[in-house]
Amino acid sequence: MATETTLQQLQLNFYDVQATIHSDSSAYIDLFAKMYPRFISKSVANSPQHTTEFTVYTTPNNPAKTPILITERQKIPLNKPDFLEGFVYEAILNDIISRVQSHLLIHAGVVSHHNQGIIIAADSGHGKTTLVLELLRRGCKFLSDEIAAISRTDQQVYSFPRSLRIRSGTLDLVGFSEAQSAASTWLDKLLLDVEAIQPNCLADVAPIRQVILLHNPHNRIKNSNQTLDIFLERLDDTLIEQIYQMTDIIKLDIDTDGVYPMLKILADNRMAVLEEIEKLCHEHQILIVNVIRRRYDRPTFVGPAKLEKIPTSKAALELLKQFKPGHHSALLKDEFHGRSKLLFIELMSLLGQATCYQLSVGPLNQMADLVGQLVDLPPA
Amino acid sequence: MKTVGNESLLYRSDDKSVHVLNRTAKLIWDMCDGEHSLADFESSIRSSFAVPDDYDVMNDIRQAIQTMSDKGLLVLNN
Repeated sequence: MATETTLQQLQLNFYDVQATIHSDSSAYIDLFAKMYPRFISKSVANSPQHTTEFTVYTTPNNPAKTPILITERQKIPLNKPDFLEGFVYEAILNDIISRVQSHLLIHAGVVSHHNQGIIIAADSGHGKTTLVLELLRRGCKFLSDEIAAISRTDQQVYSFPRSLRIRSGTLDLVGFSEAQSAASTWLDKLLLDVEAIQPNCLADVAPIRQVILLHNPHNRIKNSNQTLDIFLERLDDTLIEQIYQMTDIIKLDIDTDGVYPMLKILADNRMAVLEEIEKLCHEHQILIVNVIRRRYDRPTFVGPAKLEKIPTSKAALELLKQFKPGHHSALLKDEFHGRSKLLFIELMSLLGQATCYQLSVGPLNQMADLVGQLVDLPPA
Repeated sequence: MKTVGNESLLYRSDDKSVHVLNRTAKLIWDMCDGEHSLADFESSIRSSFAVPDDYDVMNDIRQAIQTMSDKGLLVLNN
């Protein structure tokens, strides 16, 4: 006899998007609530303009007879147990983010001091979160360690206060070791609210005054802007043949040594290639598990750290590469008709009052000193 | 044409391309009206920016004009 599954639900507000998540697992709902507590309670001044729903079944006890993630756009069978871990959370977040149209969401950390907003953008592994926490320890306010939400109406940057996901070593490095007791652990990292680290450190909004791009001066990987690593659930001969025929691809290697097969791609028009591969994978019912857009050498931080002023156009171009929703963005599709140049022009305008810098990474104290000097932050 | 900080954005509606001009390029662009000579360009640049006397400004002007022409932003009349 079939039993009816009771679903629990959670409603989150992300700027102009309201997302409702349903699940048969209270543990799932609880974890989302732990990740986004401030998105639940945050009051929204205006009604959200866009709403969306997600349903996560963690057991086969549902009409699809398999664990599944159901979004408004697609149904994704969760065929492997580990898909129920990080993958589902990222898939839901990415879907929500792609619907936001009121703000440009850039992969970057944000702090402020005396109401001067500082956006710190970097590829993963360049010490963005560590630098944000160090600036927090020195007295800056926190807006985000992950996403800079730049309002399209008032040109200010808004907080994206999701719970931090950090390594315990990072907390030790910036002198916040005690906060570890308030953290829970998820996928080998600590999960904790920023005010458990530093009480009253959260700011809601700040005008954008500085944009800082972290840069590894010793990066030796060539063509990093043309690389694309795509992890697939499985390989399929026809799919691979179709990908080999794509004219924009300069080089394709397939790495099957890891948990999931990976396509290592060098391409002229990387985003168009990704979009095409997504379509093909959808046709073949093959899940894309992860996409890494740029390959970089991990910086060694041996320094010295160095700060150089750069033109706003160079900063805007780099921030555009960190545009979180990427080509899935509803804003890009609907308002800019897929033309990222128009997004670039808007981003340039939004950065009009900011001074932009490139920070060659080095020892943490040096980097924090250089950034602190820009906003008259007292030295550590 | 839209100015943001020290730069100007030039959007070509025919091929949808976007070009960023720094202050010097913007000055040159503004003077490309068929009325000014290269000597006028040089004089204007020297009075607007701190350029050493022995620096070959004319070479930069020629390069900038050629680049704008190559990108279809200007039509050169001999």
